[in-house]
Amino acid sequence: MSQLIDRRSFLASSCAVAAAGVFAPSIARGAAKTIKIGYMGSLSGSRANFGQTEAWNIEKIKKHVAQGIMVNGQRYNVEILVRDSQSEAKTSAAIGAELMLRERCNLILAQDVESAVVNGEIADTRGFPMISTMSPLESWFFPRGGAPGKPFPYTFHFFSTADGVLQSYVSMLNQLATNKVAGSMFLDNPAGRAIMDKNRGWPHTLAQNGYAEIAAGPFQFSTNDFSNQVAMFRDGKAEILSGFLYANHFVPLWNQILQSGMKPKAVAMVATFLFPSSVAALKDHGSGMLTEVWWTPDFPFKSSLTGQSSAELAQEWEAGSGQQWTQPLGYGHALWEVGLAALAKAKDPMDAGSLRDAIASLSVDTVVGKVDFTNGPFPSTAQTQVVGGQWNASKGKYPYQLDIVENSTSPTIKTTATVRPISYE
Amino acid sequence: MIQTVAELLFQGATLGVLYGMIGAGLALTFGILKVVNLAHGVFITIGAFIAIWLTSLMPTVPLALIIVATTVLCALLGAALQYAVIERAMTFRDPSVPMMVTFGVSVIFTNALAQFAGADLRSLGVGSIAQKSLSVGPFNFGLFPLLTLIFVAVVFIAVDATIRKTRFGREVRALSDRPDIAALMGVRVRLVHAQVAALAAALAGVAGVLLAMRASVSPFSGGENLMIAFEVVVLGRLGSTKGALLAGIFLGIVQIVSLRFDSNAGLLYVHLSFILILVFWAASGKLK
Repeated sequence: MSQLIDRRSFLASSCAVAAAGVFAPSIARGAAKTIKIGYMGSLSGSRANFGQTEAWNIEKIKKHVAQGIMVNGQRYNVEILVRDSQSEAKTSAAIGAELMLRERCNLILAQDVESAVVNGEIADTRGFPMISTMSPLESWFFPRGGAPGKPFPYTFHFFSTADGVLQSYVSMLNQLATNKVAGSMFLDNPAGRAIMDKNRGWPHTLAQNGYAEIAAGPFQFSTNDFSNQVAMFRDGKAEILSGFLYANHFVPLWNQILQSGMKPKAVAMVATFLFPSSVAALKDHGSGMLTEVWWTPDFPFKSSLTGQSSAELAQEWEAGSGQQWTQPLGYGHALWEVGLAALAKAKDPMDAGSLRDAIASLSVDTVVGKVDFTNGPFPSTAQTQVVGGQWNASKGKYPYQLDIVENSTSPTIKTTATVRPISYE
Repeated sequence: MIQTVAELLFQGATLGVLYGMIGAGLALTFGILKVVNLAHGVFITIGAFIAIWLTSLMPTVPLALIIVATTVLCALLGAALQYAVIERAMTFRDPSVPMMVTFGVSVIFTNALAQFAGADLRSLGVGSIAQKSLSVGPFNFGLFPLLTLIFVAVVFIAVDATIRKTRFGREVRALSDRPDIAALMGVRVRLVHAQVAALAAALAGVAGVLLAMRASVSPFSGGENLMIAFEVVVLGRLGSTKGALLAGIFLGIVQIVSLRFDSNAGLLYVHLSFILILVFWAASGKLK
C-alpha cells in the first residue's frame, strides 16, 4: 500500500459501505449470502504426504466456485477457510474449534481423520455438518464410539473399509506361489494396534486364508534396529513380509532383511507403499512392493465438478506440479465433490439440519467412484472401493509406476498387470 | 543358538559404536571445556540434515566426500558458536549459565530446522551396499554395519591419538587440568576452546550421518540423541572418549538383547540399565 488510510477517509468509506448495506435493494442482499466451508487437512507434519496435493486441489476448487454456486435457483457465494492440522491432535482441536465456534462455518470438510475424530463431538453436539475421508471407515467409526444402527447426528465419513484393504492384500498373496508363511510386525500406534487385532485384523485374515503367521508383534516408534524380527522371520522361513509400518521404518528393516540373506517373495505392508516417494526411497529395490489402492489414474470414473477423468486429473497435477500423482489426489478432489453436491442438494444450504439431511441421503458419482451415504456398512458412512496394486519399474518420467493387479471386490476397476513375486536379479 | 548369539552381539556392537559416536563429542566438551552442551543432540541432527541436503543437491558426488564436507561444515558451525556465544557464557562462574545458553541454542536450531527442512523423517540412502552381507561360516554379517564399525573405530583411534600425541592435544590436556597455568604458559585459551568445540561438533556431524544412513532422523530427534549421549558420557566415566565407546557398545548390546525378549520395548531397557548402574555406583560410593 502506497498510502496509509487516514482516520477521515476511513470513516467516510465505512459510512458509504454501511449506507449501501442499508439502502441496497433486498434482492441484492439476498445474492450476497455466503456459504462458509471450513477445511481441515494434514498439510504439514508426519502425515504431510497425505496433504501434498491438497493446496493444489483447493486452488482448483476455489476457481470452480469463484462465481458462487446455485442452490434451488438462488446464487450463493462460497468462502473457503483452509486450516492445517499439522498432523497433531492438539492443533486439530484448536482449528476445529476455530472453524466451528468462531467462524461458524456452514460445512466442515476434513481430509485428516484425526481432525474428524477429535472434532466430531463438537460438530455433533453443536450442529455443524462435517464430512471426512482419507482413512478406513473403522478408524473413524469405532474410536468415536459408533454403534450399529445409531447414526451420528451431524458427522459423516466416506472411504473403503479396513477389512476390504486386508482382503485385497490376501487376494494378491493368493495369486503367488509361496510356502504360505507370513512374518508380521506392526508399528505400535492406534492404526497399527487396529490392524494387529487378533479377531478383526491381519492375523485373523491370515489364519482364515490358511497362512501361517510368524508374529513379531508390535514395536515402538523409536526402534532403529530390527535384527530380532529379521532373525525370527528367517528362522521361520517366512516368504512373505507383512504388517503395518511407515516407510521410514521400512528402509532399515529392508536393509537388515537383505543383509540376513532372506529373499522374501512378497511384501504386503499396509500403508507403507501408498506413495511413490516411499518406493523411490528403496532406490533399486522398490520394484514388486504391494500396496492397497484407493485411487489411481486408471480408475474409470469422472469428476462430477469438472467432468475430468481420473487420468486427466492426474495429468493436470503432474503438469502443474512436476511431481508424480499420489492416491490422495483423487480423494482430495472427491471430498469437495461430495461437499458441494450436498450443498447443492440441501433445501437451505445455510441451515445445518437441512444440510445434514442432504448429506445423509446423498449418492454422488465422484472421481473415486460412487459415494452413497444411504447404504454404508456402518451408520453415517459411505463405502468406496479398494483394489490391490504392485509397484513396477517404469520407463516413463518417474522411476516406478503403480499397476492394479487385484480387483476381486471391485471388478469395474480393470487390472493393468498381474501380480508377480519380487525378483532379485 | 551360537549363530543367533553371535549375530545379536554383532548387531549390538554396530549399534553400540554408533551410540559411542553420538556420545563422543559431548564427552570432549564436558571433559575439556567443562561445559554441559545441551545443543549436542541438535548438532547430530544438523549433521544428518546437512548430509541429506548435500546429497540431494549433488547426487553424483561420492558419499566419502559428502561425509568430509558435512564434518567440515559442522566443525565450522561448532567453532563459530563456541567463539560467539558459549565462550561468553563460560566466563560466568555458575556452570548453569552455559547450560541454559546451549539449551536456548538447541531450541532455536531445532525449530529453524523444522521450519526450513520440514518436520518429516528422512534418511540417507547409501545404495545397494546397505543390503550386502558377508558370510563367515554359518554367520551372516551385514557389510554396511561392519564398515560402520571399522569407520568408527578408526575415528576413535584418530581422536585419541590427537589428544595424546600432538601439540594441540598437549594444550588441550593442559587446559583441561589447570586452565590458569596453561594460559600463563602461553596456551591461547579461546583458540583451543574453539578448536575443541569444532572437533566435538564434527564428531556430532559424523554421528548424524551414520544415524541417517542406518535409520532416520527428524528435526526433533535431537532430544532422543542427547539422552543417549548423556548416558554414554556418564557410563564412560565423564570425559573419556575411550570410555564413551565402550559405554556405547554396552548400551547397544543391551538394546538388541532386550528387544529379543520384548520386541515392543524400544529403548526402555537401555535407559533402565543406565539408571541401575548409576544407582549401583551411588550405593557403592563410586560417584564421589
